[in-house]
Amino acid sequence: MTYNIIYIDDDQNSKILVDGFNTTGLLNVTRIKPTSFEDQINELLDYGNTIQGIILDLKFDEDFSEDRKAYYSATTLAQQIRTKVNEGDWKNEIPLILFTTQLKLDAAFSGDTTSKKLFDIIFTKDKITDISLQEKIYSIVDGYNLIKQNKPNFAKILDIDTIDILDQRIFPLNLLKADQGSNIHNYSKHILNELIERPGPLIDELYLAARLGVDIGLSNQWKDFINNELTGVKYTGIFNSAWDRWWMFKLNNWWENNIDKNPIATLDARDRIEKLNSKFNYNLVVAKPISKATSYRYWTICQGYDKPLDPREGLRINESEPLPWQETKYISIDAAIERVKRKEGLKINPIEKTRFENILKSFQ
Amino acid sequence: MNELEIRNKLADVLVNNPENYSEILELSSQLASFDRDNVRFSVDAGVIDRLGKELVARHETAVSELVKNAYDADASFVEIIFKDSNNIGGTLSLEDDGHGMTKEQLVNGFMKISSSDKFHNPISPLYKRIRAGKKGIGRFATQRLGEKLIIITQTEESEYAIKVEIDWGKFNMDKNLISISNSIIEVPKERVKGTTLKIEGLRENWSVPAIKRVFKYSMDVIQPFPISRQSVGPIEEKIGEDITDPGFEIRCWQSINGGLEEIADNDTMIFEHALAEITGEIDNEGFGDWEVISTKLGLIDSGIIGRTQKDEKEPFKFIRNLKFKAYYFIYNIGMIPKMVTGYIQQKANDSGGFRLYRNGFRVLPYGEPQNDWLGLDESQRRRVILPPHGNNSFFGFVEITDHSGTVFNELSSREGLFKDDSYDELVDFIYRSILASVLRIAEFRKKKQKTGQKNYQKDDLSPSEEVNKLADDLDELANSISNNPTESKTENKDNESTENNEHKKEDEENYNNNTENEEQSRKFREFAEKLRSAAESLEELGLLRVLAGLGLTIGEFTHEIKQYLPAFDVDSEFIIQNSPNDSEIKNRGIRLKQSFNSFNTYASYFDETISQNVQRELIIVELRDVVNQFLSVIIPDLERGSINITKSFNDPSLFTCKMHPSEWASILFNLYSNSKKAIKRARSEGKISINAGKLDNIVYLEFSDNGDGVPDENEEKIFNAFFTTSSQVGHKGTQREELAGTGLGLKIISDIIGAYGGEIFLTPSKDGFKTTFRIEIPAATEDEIAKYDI
Repeated sequence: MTYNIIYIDDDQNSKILVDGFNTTGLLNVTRIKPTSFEDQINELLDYGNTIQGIILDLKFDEDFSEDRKAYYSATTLAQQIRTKVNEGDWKNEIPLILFTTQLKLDAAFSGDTTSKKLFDIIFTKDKITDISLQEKIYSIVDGYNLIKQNKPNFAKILDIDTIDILDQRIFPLNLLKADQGSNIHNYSKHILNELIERPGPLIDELYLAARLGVDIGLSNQWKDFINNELTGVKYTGIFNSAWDRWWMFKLNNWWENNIDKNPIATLDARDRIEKLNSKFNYNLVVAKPISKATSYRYWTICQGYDKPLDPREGLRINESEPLPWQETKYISIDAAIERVKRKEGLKINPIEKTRFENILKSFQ
Repeated sequence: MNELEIRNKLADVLVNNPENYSEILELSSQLASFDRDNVRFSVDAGVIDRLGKELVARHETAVSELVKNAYDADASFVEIIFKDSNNIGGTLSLEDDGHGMTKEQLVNGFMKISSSDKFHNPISPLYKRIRAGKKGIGRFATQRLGEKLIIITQTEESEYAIKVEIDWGKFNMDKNLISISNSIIEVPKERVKGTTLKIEGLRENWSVPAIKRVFKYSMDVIQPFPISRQSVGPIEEKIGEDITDPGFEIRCWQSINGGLEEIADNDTMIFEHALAEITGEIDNEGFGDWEVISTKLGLIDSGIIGRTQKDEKEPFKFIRNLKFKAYYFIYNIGMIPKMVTGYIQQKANDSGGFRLYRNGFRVLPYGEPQNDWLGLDESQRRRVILPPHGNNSFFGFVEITDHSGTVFNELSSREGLFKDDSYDELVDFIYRSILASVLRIAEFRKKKQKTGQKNYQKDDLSPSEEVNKLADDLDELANSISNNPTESKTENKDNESTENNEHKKEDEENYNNNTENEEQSRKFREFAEKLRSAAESLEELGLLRVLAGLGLTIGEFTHEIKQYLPAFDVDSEFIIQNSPNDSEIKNRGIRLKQSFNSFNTYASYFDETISQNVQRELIIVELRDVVNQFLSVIIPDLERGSINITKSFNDPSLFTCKMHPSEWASILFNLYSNSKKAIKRARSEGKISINAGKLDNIVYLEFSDNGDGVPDENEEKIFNAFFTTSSQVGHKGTQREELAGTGLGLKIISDIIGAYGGEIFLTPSKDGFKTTFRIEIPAATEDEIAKYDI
């Protein structure tokens, strides 16, 4: 099924971007030029359930060439839509996607990030030809439908038998009870931001490889291995069509039932791979430690090089404080020295400063 | 040989050939290896070469280490002569008048690796200098520099000098270090005391800039003041006396085909850059005057100073026969080349001020750090008189001639002069002379600015035309001054001068005036020449303005172009997705997308670089960041030109002092485009290497290529404005290349780097490379790093 999406942008060139959105048949994006605030709200309300999502450019007030003129920005409009949903005037709650340039994004949210939360997801315009952009929007619209039908049943939404095996702090009370502040958007945002996009109970492919000790680049059969042997571990809940994730608790169970009674975490990566290769007929390759690291007891990845790393040989990165069920992210010493992804904002956590300085001194 | 054979052989040598110590040592150490109960370390001779290379990275610093050794040996001078060193294989000699070495000191010091003398004695014995040389580096420095070392050294007490020859070529790997012998002989003394190091077979060629760098790298021991006389007599007697450090001077010479040319000393490296020279004098009747000469400003002026301000004609009551001279510096007004501002200012902060000499002997503590005996720093702090005149604006010296010792009384503790009426007059005279001169200079500079502006509006000439016109005016003035009787017979044959000729035999006073006039007109012509060269700089500024304007337009362009980029992206992707596999259309689509991606990277890089300029604040810069960013942009370009690039970073922390990050884009792109041109001319398989690291408190970046190289004679010229090799005959450059070859690239880089007290120069390349630019820039302080980055 194709989802109908409205794309609001005042820029003439945005017609080209519309072509960029409509290449897979997942979405049918139509661009409109923004008009005055009241008219715009009413116009969107009039679409009713014929549309399944709205993509918004950040600035609406840069092109006054035609009749339709707007003097507000996307955050103002998004706030009003969320308010209308809350007040019950807007029955068809749909995802809001912010779509702008990195430069404007940095400028808009450098001081205050509260309005960032209004959007389900944010993309920059240079990613337009990345197919995953369409897949993610599609997956979020799908997710909205899933939440609408199943809330507040998290087990259904996450497609597991019970949520009792998970850390209960993952599930805020208001969402469990479908109380105040339990719009679809709140479920969607919470699951996407706190469960899918940060390592914890769910891990992505790089973490999966690190936990098993595999060098993905050197292991030709890696994809075959995960597709054939780890299907039971794969996450099948909400948003899984655009985000590949695996349940950590299922991985542990699978290991203990099929491979070895010793938990993965207690084994050296060379042992992990040896056991895997002897159990199955794969030729998985052990990941070598990153330069300046020596341990094979991988559990995390280096955020600079995206390679397996023993957290004891890593430095914590400067990120917003992880929630109790989320994992801390690390950077390897070598990547910290070489300032990998520095431009993208990757830095060590200030609490690691002294330790890092001592490490640097030891190299001199 | 087995154990017994060795024993027998050793016994044989001891009896029949007892002088062959090398053989005895070698056999003994071989014998020791049969010791079943003990083991011993041994040292391979190759260690010398390895340590030399690892401890002394650069040949300029190697020489400056030897200079510091001379300083540590209480020398008052070192003469450095580079003989035929414009090619590899020349000879370098360093002569000093330090305390020299006895045979015992030589054997236990210089010849003993890891000797502990400097460790135990951080202060020099005679002048109590804090030793500046690094521990144990000297011998390795000599090995680093050349193939052979000859040491001739003598102490004051010795009757002979000793001479040692060391051929580093003998120190090969797989040889036992202790078994290599070096000849030592006694020779007649060369001078009372001191050491001469002669290094033959130099491993590098030495350009003039490299020799100048030796001087700069030795800056911390140089004292830009006259050498004090030293009392004569044996050292033992002097040690009890509190001996005054006479100072330390370095003179660098170059000798090519027999000639001898001075390359670097205090005059050329420091005083030449002074804004003005201020001198003053009290004659033997107590009359005082001062004079200021500034060729940079075109100012000569003088005045008199009397005992009281009310009557400047009144002679001083007590002081007689003294002179002072000071080199005056004002920093950061564009009067000193930026490249040299850094080291001069640093030196002046450490040891600027006025030193006092009495009958040639230095008197302490005047002119020592923190000593403000003339009250200059205090006066500067009061800010009543605004032009800079603190101690760090001067290298000055006061010379008192007082052989009878009646005018000034030295304190019995030898801690300076007795603060009596004479002393007060001395301080008063110098302070007032300095202030008068400084104010005169300030006033002159101000006036110059004003008149410049007025004329500019009136005549509507371009600035450089304006300056050229002023130069012509000055020439005319010079002509009219010298257009007098004595000059006329050589040049002017017109009526007026013939008329003047008739007055030729007038009184002697007239003759004196003539020589004075001649002197003045010579100075005027000199200034006119300086003005003309200033006009050239103005033209350069003009072109810089054109380029800056162009830069802004390009900035606008790279920004605006971004809105067209999504169309390329979306449409090329569409072509790729909607054309049959392996079809020509699909291939073209993929190629289009790849070119687009490179284009996009370029555009974003420049867009970001230019938007960085909006923010004016300077920040410390990690060289990794700028190099990696630069590489990410040029890699597609490199692949197209099949140039191979490598990088290496040799220190975990490579922060420069506070700079503008976009300046590194200019530096790297300029060097890169030069390299590309050089590689193209050389028709070689291109290689570029970027290597960055840290040395003490500088960070450096070396940019090497294997292009056609820079001829020696251009080594310094390439940093001049409008110097370009782009349009040389035989090189078929395209028009665009010629436009890029304005000859300002390296000049701009060198200005940027110079502005931060750094330096760019050519340095010998490692194997496989032809040209290496080395950039040195002050490193960020730990505080700055803590403030800006983790």
